Amino acid sequence: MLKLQWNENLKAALLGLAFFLLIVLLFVFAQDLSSSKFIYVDF
Amino acid sequence: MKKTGLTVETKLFLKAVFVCLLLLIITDLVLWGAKTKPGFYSLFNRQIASREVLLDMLGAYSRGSKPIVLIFGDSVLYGSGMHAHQVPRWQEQTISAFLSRKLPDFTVVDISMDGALPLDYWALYQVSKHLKPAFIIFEFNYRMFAQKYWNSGQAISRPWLLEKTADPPVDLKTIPTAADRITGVLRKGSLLFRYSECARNAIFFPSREEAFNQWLRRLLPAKSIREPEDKDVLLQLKIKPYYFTTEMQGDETPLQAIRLLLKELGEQKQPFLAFFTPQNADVIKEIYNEDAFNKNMQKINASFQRPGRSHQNYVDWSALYPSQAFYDHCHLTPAYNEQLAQALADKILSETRGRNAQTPVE
Repeated sequence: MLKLQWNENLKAALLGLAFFLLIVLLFVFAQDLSSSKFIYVDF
Repeated sequence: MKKTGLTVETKLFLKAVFVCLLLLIITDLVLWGAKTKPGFYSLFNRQIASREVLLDMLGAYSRGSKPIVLIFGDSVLYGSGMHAHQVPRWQEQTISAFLSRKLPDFTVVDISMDGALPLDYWALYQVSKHLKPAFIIFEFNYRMFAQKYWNSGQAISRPWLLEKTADPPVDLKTIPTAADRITGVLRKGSLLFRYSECARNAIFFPSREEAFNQWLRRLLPAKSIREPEDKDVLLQLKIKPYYFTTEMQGDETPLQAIRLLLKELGEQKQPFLAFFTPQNADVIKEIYNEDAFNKNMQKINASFQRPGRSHQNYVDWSALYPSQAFYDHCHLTPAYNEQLAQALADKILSETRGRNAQTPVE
């Protein structure tokens, strides 16, 4: 029973970590919503 | 397996949400501590993605006891040329990095931004003047006076710089979109979001397209992406609008921004030095409108002159270096970054020593 509970908690922790990483990736790699613009482009 | 009316899956999901929230809170707490350390901002190459980040960065540097030297610049100071040419540890070879090593008794705060414009400097000064810097360096470049920036709507590179600015000199008439509102709330509420924007800007610097091109160049044979001779043509296409401009009349927004900035610096009795960054004559003579260029340079130089005063806070270094000093039309190699830093350090030291010896700068 204790082992079953532990497995469940581990699963929840991993799923929570996955959610968190998904949010971080979304924040970093999502299309830029702000109005910053860059000028320097090296050809 | 039902115990409290919730299925196993629902309980698992709720626990995962709890873990996720916990991680978000822990990350924000870590960032809360980290943002007070100046070194933190090097992690994302001093990318200033929002007003909030700018304020955090200035706050971190103002904690020290040394007098502050504030640096306002564009891609020349930011080091974009070295980044594009994949110079190893380019962050340590920018003008401000060299300056920092040459002025150990000062805290050098570099808030240079790629593509900065004179009106950006005015807005940046509004945000940073509370630091009461011992000295400010302003770098000016011919690009900043290009025809496309004469119109007030184009005269600021990052409209967020004018947020909360009392009595802005230009009315951008921007209508915030739903995305702007969401971004604004997230920047204030979540440090993770705030600094994710900086990380994003650093990862995709200088633009998404260019970052992908660089990654592809590493994966594919160089010739399949761009021919070496294309490089010069593409560079000319990019910079020609900057140098092939018509003559300025004097009421263009970049010149107005300089007048506003000088007025305010004078009122605040702020010691500063403005310099016009070196230009690569060999590159620009191929594309510029010579007559307009010379007249515009005279107008730019004249806008900094203070009639009747022996002490001038402006130097025109546009013809300072030979063509081997540059990667392109204006971006300097590390060796010349160091030379320029030395020239600036000498100026700063003579000005600040002069003031300490009761010789008024103003």
